[in-house]
Amino acid sequence: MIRFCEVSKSYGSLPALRSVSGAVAAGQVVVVCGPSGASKSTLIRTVNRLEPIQSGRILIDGRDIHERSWSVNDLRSKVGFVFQSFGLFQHLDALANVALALVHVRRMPRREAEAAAMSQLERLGLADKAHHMPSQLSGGQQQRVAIARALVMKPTVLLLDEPTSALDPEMVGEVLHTIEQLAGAGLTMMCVTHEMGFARRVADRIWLMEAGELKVDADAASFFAGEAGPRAREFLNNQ
Amino acid sequence: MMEIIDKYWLLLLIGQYPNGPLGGLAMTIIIAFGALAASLPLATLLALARTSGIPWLERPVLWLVTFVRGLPFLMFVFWVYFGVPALFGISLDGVTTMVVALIIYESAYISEIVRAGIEAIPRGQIEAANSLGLKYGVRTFCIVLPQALFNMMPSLITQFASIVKETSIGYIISAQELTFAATQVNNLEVTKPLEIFAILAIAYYLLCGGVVLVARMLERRVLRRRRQAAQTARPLTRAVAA
Ligand SMILES: Nc1ncnc2c1ncn2[C@@H]1O[C@H](COP(=O)(O)OP(=O)(O)OP(=O)(O)O)[C@@H](O)[C@H]1O
Ligand SMILES: [Mg+2]
Repeated sequence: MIRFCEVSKSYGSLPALRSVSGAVAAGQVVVVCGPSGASKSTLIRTVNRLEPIQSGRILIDGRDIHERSWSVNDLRSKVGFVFQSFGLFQHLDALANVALALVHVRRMPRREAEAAAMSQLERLGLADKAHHMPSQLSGGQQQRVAIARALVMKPTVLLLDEPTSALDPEMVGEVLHTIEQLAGAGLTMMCVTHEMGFARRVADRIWLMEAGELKVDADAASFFAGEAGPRAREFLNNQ
Repeated sequence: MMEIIDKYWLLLLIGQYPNGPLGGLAMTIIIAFGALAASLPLATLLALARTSGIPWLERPVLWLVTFVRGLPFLMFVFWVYFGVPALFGISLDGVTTMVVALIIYESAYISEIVRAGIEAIPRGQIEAANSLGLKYGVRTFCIVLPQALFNMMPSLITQFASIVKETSIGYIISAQELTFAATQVNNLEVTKPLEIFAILAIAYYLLCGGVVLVARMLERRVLRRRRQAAQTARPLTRAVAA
């Protein structure tokens, strides 16, 4: 479903991704982990073309995302992205945040879009927060609104970049719980996280990155059983 | 002083209206407000060009803005006053001349305010908009500008006060505004220039001071809003759970 073929990228002269190859199957959850600066964010940001790549190919459902005939906005509207710092539009309430892209990208009539946004918020237990501004919501609630905003577009894949790192500890649980439910519902996901307990519960595969390279690509069960090689064991021991 | 105010307050307030043209303080406010309202869209276009990331668009606008800001305002008044009739064969009255000159001058100044407002929008807002597949136009008009304009409101109101002061230059081309009205009074009451121009000063001070006060109050609100927003989105030190 998502396939990286020898993807390389550099920031100026600084190499960030070195010939990364790997595949995420439909309905799978891949947790991307690794030390700070390993290019985890860079990797998932290439999938919706927030970061350009210099060589290699990235395919979604067999189609090259850099294909001329696939506009970047159309690609992005099919790939959900959740940021560490939420990225809610500060001047819009929760409902408007969720409905915005339906109106402007999917060209849905406003009323329909708001109804769809409302039911998405309901599914994530946020119905009573629909008319709250982001600044009136807790961090955990904001991140769940951000997830709702991504989900309402019915993405073929959801990318999450450390969705709980900006949260106070007592709010991490509610967001992880939401993501676990999505994983259970068969959504294809790539999630960068340092929450290894969470990774153990939701991941089908673990990708361990180091210095721009995909060092370990292992089945989650064998990764946590310590059967994915010395690097994986070392990483687990350091947690 | 009181007797002058008593005698001429209406002239200072609205000029000779309704027997003659509207003038005085009312016209000063109309000129300033009209100039601000017309400059804002132009300034926004200039600021969008400046932040477009397209060199052949950014460069000329940068030159234009630098050029306009590098000249005294009076030059623009003269250019419009003498240049427009010479070039287009139409003559403009004083008030129109002032409004046109102010629009040119203020568009350049306000474009810098708008540019700063646009550049102060956190990167995360742009990335979030991009990641949803929003096109440039939607991103600009639904996400960036509404937030930028809200944050800029105090600066824009302060700019209004400085436009009010600039309108006094209209006197030299006989635009019928507050300063013009004061000189009319001065011509009628030849022996009291100190009192009359003291009244003029007080009138400008009350108007502009009041406007700046409103701007300050707004600024505190804007700052509070932005701080709230920044606080709820602050990345904490990473919680590593095993
Ligand atoms: N926009 C950029 N310009 C230049 N260098 C960048 C940019 N973004 C990231 N880098 C560099 O690329 C490398 C990988 O960064 P990246 O953010 O992808 O790492 P990460 O694994 O997500 O780290 P963290 O766990 O701290 O989020 C780092 O050395 C970083 O400094
Ligand atoms: Mg990162």
